[in-house]
Amino acid sequence: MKFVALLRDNQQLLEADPDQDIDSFIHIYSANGLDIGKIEAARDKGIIDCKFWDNGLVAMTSDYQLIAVDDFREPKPHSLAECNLDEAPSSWAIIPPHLTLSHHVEVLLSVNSTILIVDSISVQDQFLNQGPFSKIAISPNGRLVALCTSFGLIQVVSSNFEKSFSESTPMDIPPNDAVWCGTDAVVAAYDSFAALIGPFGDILSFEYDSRIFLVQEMDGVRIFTNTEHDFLYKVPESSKSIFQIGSTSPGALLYDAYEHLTGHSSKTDEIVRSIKHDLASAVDACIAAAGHESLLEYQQSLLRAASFGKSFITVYNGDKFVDMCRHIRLLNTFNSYDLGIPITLVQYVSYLQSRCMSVSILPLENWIDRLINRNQHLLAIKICDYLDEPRDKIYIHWACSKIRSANEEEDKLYHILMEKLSTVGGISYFEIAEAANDNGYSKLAVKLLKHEPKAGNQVPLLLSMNNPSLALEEAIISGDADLVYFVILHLYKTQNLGDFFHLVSNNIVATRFFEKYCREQGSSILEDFYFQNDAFNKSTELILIENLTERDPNKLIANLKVIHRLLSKNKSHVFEANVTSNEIKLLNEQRKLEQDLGEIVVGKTLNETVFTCVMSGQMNKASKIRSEFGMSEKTFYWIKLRGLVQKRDWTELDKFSRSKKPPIGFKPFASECIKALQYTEAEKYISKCDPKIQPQLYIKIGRYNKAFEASLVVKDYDAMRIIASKTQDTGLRLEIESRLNQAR
Amino acid sequence: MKLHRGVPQVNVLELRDQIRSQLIQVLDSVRGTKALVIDTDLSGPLSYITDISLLREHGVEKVYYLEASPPQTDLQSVLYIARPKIPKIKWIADHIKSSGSESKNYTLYMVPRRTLLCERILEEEGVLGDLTLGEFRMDFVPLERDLLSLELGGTFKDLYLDGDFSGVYYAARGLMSLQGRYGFFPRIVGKGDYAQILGEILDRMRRELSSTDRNDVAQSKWAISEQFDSLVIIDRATDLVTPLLTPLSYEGLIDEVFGIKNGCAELESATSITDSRRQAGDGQTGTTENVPKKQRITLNDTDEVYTHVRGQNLSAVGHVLNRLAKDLQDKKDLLHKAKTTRELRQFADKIGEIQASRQSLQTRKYNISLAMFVMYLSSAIPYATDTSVNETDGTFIDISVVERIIKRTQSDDFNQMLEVEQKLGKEEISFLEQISALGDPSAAPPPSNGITYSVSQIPKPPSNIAPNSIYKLLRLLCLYYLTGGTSFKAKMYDQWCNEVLMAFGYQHRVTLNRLSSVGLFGPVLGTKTISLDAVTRSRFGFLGSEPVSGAQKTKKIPTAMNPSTKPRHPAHNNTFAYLRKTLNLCSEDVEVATPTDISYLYSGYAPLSIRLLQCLTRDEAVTKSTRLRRQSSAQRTTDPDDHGNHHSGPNSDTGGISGGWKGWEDVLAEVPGKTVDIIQRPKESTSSLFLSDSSRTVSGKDIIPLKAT
Repeated sequence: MKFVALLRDNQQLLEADPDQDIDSFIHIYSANGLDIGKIEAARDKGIIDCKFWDNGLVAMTSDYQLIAVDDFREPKPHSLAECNLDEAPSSWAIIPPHLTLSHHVEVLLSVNSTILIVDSISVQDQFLNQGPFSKIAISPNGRLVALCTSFGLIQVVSSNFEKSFSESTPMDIPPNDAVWCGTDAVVAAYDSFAALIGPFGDILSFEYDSRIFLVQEMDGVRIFTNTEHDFLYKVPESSKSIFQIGSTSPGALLYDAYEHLTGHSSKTDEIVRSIKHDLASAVDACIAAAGHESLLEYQQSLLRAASFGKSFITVYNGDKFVDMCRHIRLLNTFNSYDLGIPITLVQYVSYLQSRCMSVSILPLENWIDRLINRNQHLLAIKICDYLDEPRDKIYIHWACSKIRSANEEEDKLYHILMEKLSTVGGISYFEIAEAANDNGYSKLAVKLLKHEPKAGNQVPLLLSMNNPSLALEEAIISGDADLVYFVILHLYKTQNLGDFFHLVSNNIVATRFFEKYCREQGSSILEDFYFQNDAFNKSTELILIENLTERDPNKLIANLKVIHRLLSKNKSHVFEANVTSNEIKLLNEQRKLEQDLGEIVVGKTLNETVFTCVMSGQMNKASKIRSEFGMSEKTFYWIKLRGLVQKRDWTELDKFSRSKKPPIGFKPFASECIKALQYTEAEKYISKCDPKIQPQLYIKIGRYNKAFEASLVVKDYDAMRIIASKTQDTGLRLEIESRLNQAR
Repeated sequence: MKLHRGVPQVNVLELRDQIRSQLIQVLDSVRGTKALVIDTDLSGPLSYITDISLLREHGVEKVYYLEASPPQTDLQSVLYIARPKIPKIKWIADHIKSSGSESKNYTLYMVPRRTLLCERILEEEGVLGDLTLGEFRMDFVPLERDLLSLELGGTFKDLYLDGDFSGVYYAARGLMSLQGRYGFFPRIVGKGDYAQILGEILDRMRRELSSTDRNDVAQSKWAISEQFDSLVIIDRATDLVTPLLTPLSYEGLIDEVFGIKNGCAELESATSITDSRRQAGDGQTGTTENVPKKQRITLNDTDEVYTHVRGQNLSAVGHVLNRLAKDLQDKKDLLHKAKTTRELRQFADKIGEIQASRQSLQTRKYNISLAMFVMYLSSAIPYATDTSVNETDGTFIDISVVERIIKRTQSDDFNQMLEVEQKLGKEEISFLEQISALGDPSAAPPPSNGITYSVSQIPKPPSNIAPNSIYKLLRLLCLYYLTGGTSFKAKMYDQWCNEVLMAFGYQHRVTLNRLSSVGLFGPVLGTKTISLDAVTRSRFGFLGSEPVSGAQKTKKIPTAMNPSTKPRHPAHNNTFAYLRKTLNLCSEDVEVATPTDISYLYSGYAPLSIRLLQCLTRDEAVTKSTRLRRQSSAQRTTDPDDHGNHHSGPNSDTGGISGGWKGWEDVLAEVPGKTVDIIQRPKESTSSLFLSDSSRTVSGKDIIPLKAT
């Protein structure tokens, strides 16, 4: 046994398959019978029953647990409150979420003599005693519940079980089925006999030749027999007001006037005059009534009556009339025998209205869907033309069906398709390509896909078509970085590692994306990737970064040796290899130093190492390291200078400055001494500096006389002015001023 | 990537409301009270959009920053707002996993986009089912009325080092929503490889839009914009020199000394002298207790005084303030206040210090005279004590700030650096050698720098001003390399690399490798290094001058998508020297007080990116030096066959760019990256989607069923 529901929204079939012993799935099929998804509703348990509403379902498992799925588009099954049943309920029904107070689905279970109301949190016993109930029917607005007992009693109560409205017993046996007809009456089916139970328990019977089946609609009931299809509904107010015998409503009068008009009777004018101010409502009534008529003849005469009445009104908005004509025309189209979708205006319009609420879906689109699912493409296009609706969807569907039923060659098929499709803009080709791919036309699919404007649509399909390199290219071209990641990660997951590396390394962009992903994800796969691509320099980076946290010198050296070996493999990395071997040498040197000096040296830079040597008085060692590692003279002088100054070893500094002419000049010697506030020491070096900078340096240490002398040598008048402004020595100041005057 | 606009009638601050209502939706999507966990990268941008009271109104009990350790909260609902970056997402996954048995209600909103990548990471971590995912689409954050920013840090690194162009895609999305609001930009011009890619994405998105959401196209105003006449995209890679230089405007120096992030500068209160006047302005969250107290100051045009000085060269700031002070003093005589006299004394002490170093100042370009300071004082105090000024926000006309900036500009170190920047002669190189020799490897690179490899994990104060840091050395070396042209030899590169490694450690091999791969520093400023170009150029089969419809699009091998920061076919060996001459990048005489040219910003250097813009607007500054060129281009633009004239921009006479790049081909060849020029035309056939009124006449026959015949 299977439980099947047809979803009106998108013409999908749902099927719960209880035959499987474990892991029950609910399958979703498209109207063409394609399996387009499944929901795992119950693990380890079978589903024994299922009830559906527009967007969701409630399933009952073999141990009578209830599981709800609120939205098929994003199915997240969750169980409802535990009701501890030992046996199957004699009947059950659901109230869809949009009709309940809590906005969550409620389930009515008939257990023993009572009814349990179950929602996601609680179970409420209604403490009834007439049960068990063989049938529970919920009214279309969710407010009323009809209960059928096993003795044939049919009760109507409010859905909160607080109020009882009517009780009647059409027959002594329980009905085969009971459904609501609108919100006022209940129809019970007994083999070949239907009983309509009114709001006050009064019964109307309908006899049929064979066994009947009932289908509840929002505004009535369909009654099916083997040969007939009846629709039972309450006569709408507008029709009643016009056609009721003896009715004197404005609508009835207008219709009467129109009939007189067709009979060329002069009474027409008289009647129209008698309607007077109610003429507008009369026209409205005629328009409304026309919508409820199923026969063309009545529709026409009612509309003509409306049109006739309209002409007597000076200001009347014709929209209602136009809209109704359109509606009726479409209804007639749907209802015609060769199409056979019998729907009423209420169903059609309310459907449109509910659709219009959500902006994303075009009104009418769903009706168009139904047509194209029946392969009525031409008709659908005509309707779209009639209503000025976009037609792309129809073309897409047509193309898909064409591909599915085609037996031409791919190229020919492509031309047939493009002949029609190229005339229409805005077609999303990926759906068509998908269909082509599913039907084995992979070349055609690729060709069609090239027309698809949206990369986000192209890429997943290309992946599923097992065309990874093209998918990668499309993703990159789209400029959507996330899509590139998507493709790479998909390939990483699905391809074997060798192929994956090959694919990625052939594409610069993909390579860089993958590298970034690995780095951020902390994946070790990058090592293999670099290895396979002979990217030695890059793999050494990885080891290097690893080394940053390593403190054990032995391991550091071992890692560096690996780096060195990798770098030596490629001639373009000579420089890097040299640097690396130097680093190894340095580490070895540092280990020795560490033992000699007794302080931590390993991990310092070369410059710091030399500095450490200087600080601990190992001048020879420092010089040795300098020459071994090819450190530049200048660098060495700077380091040693700083070290000696910091050590305050002025004699050594003096010796150092005299060993040969310093490559960095004497100025640094002087400024370092000044910074250390050793002015006397500084003076020694200032005298050796470039004469041009001497005055400023002397000023810094406050030796104004010397500064003046020096400035005289180079004729630095600016400096003189500064000296004059700073010095306390009035004699010096005067002398400077006279000098300045002379110079002027 | 920031977009400057000078169109007065568009105030992009109005976009804030839109983002705010989105944020409210995000907050309300989680029922009841909740803990909000914000990515630290987003706290700045979000502070522009909302304040704590709005968060409270929408049920946020407590705000946390996203860190490795989970937020300590008893609240049942936790709402994360984060950038879709792998490390951050992994933190969140860890939080969820560590919560263990007590299951909370977790929600994560990714900004600006919910990415498949992050979903995948969450799936791998096994927490995808435990949290609700969403997208909070905050693309561009309006910082000023004419400034939008994505506020994505490290985008240059992402683009040119990692090759990850997410940032460009986000920019495209942001621009699309801008276009949705203001209409399509009639023309898109630009320069740079990623500029071209952005142009292409925009073009593609427009086509996708017209093919899918046809109803949207019909309903909203997807017409050609009336407020904007063009979009100019300039890739940072076209001009790598400018960010390496030190800007000398007030705001530029604030950035240099304190660092500006998300339009705010943070000052440590401990070093700030006058902060007793106001408390820390970071009133955003309750989590700042453990953080050392920082004063957070918003730098934008809401501060009237700041508006006047932000763009001034530092040496002109004094004059401007003086003028302002006079205006203010006319209104109020605030010097009677006790508070002011205290500050006056405090300031007098400071002046002593400045006096001491005046000597060195006199020979410097940045001669800030004492007199100026006295004037400054009189201006600053009335403003600062004006109680009507928002106390918590803090105004940036702050004595301590100016002091620190001036201190910095007076230091030998800074001036030596400037000299190096300006000359880069032989003598200056010895300064580099000095930095390298005395290099302090422990000085961490500044936080925002993504390229330098951070060596230690030990937090250090931002030290872009630390003497002898590798950052400074590399900054100057890069400058040397980029501007040096052929004078920079491969041998020198090796030599400098060696120096850097010796001074700062072997691990900086990585740093150097990375610098070289983004083209900031490398062996040769090569003219022959790029060979992929033949394929690259026609990646899409067109250069972007004309939108190509989907059907005709030809695709080339995308492996060639390899953006570069180097010009592809330069005709000159030393491209920078050529550009400097042709575009008048360096001018000798600069009027800093009443500037007539942008070069006042750097006291003599005009940023290349700005010159490129001026090329488009045919500005005097660039046309003057090449008079011939201007004449020829003027001739071309008046030519009736000229391509640019097909589109008549709304203000082609008043600085519009209707001429496009015409006439600048020689210059563009020397600037890195491809050239973009796209003209967007209105879509033709949208009108057919409307129901025209004439079709609404129906006769009685119109109810006859339609037949499929």
